[in-house]
Amino acid sequence: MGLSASRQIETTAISGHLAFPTTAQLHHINLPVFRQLSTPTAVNMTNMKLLSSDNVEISVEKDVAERSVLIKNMLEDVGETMDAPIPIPNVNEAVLRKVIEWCEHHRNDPPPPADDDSDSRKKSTDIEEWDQKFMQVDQEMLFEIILAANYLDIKPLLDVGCKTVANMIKGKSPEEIRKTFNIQNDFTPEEEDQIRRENEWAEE
Amino acid sequence: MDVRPTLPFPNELCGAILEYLSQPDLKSFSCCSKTCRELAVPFLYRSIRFNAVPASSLAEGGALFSRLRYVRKLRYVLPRADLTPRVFQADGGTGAMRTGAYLMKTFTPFTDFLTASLAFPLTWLQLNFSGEEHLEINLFHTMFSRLSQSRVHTTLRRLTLSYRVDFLLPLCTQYMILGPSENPYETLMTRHPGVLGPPLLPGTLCEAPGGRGGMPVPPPNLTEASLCLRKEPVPQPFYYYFFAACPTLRKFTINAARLYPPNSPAPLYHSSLLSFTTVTHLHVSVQPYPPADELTWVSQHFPCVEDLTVELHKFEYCAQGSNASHLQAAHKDIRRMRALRKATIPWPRLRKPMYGNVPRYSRLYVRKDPGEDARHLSCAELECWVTCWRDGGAQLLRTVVFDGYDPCARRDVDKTLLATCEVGSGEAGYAFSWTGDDAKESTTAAN
Repeated sequence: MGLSASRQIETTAISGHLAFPTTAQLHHINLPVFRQLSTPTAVNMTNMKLLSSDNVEISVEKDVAERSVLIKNMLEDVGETMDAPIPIPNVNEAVLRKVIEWCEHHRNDPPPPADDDSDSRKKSTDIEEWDQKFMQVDQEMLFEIILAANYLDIKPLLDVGCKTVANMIKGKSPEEIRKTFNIQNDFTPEEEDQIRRENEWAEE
Repeated sequence: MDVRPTLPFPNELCGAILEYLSQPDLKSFSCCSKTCRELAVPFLYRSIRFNAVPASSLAEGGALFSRLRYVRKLRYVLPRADLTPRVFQADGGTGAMRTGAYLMKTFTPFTDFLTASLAFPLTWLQLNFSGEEHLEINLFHTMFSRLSQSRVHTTLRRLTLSYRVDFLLPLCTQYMILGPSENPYETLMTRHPGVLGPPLLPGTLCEAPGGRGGMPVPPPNLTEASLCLRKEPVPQPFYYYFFAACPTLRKFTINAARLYPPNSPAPLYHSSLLSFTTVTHLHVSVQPYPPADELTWVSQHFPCVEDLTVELHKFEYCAQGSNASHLQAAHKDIRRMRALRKATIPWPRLRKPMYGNVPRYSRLYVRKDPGEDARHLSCAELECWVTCWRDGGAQLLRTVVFDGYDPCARRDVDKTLLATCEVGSGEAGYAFSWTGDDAKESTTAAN
């Protein structure tokens, strides 16, 4: 933003045959820029392109894409030019579109509060309604979304995904969990007994 | 062990998922397959109840030995006295003294734990003495002397202590008639060692198996401590001194019937030796309302508290009179907390006492005036209060949360009143802004 603003000043200054713009001119030129800065929703309306693993270009607004810390850092490294699509080699089109859908809905979310004491307190598995609906997909897609969120470094989406899986485990017996995730039981009955005894030591 | 992914995730993502599971769910998950077991174990054994663990499994090669490195939180319940063989020496009715045999029985598991604890970085220790009716200061002393010699001592960040306090009363009331500047903790240890009588002198205790002599050193990295007291406390119990000496203690939680004991004169404003100078976050959960003596006590002992929460875990109305100025007077000591930035207090309310007698601590006040109706104070009235606190010394106070949770309230009327009052500076004095669902409603309801 700062870069393009100063570029604008330069251009005007040259076209107006002035070495330096006067204060009044500066004021006049920068006014819309400042106004944009003061309203965060209006910032970064520019579009950019992402390239999925199956070579599909997806156009996305820059501030939506910047929900991904990976893309954000990449853009910061590269600078403001981004005509070429950014390749996302680990994520296919369907998943990427889904992830972008999530980012669009959550584009104006405030940054999550930092929890410094995570190891002592259990986290809540509450998911907001929109996210719950969003996560109503088949298991394969759900896992793909989680992996994509992890790769793209979108912490809130990763959290929602993990909570969704945790909720699938919650309140189920071992047999039901095996069924849900298609897990093969490789314990002997004696081993199972032993585990049950050991588990008694653990507590909330 | 070879861990093959059960779910189509890398293992660290499995960790992120298991983080959200409760203990019963983790147990179920760990029973699914060997891989699941290996994934769940680090989470499963974060928290263990020590008494449930057989000593043999802690030894090298034991079933729990390889899990010890995952343990972060440990709960130790002192074995119940009536289950352990003990020999009392009647000592002029001051309380029972125990022999070394009892001590051995009680502390063998604890010594085991300390030996085993060398293997794991425990951060949260929960000690529960509430089954023990006559635990004396010397047992406390022994426990922490030993703790201070273990590795846990430096890794410990949270300490939760729960016990009944009546066992301390005979000792403290009889032998600890102290001047205002005396530290009962040290005094008892040095001046009256005979009180604890043979065979359990503090020295004897520390020389018992696994221990060495010396005063218990407070854990150097402890940042959070909770006390859960089942009975009414003595004015300044010795363990307060232990906690006050912790150099990095920030957060302190007290859950007690009262902070200030019955039958004792109201707290004085003298400077006290007992001062929690490092504590910035204080949470007290008490019974009496309004918590007048509690606030005085807090203002006296917690000079640096920035965030104070007063919560009622049981409602015991003990106002002297049922009018708003009495209620305000009961909260006046908030102004003495000069570092206070945020306060959370029960939404002030007036009630009609039920029986005409209003118990204030152990004294009975017979109410003469009929008092006003039972009602919540309005936002306007509360703004006056906050102004008084700010003008009276609590100049940093920015946020006051009035949390109206009242277990005794009629369910339909005033169960949940919650509003936050932000104090800023306005053109004439202070500017108040209220948020909360009930803020407006309560104002109108009160008027």
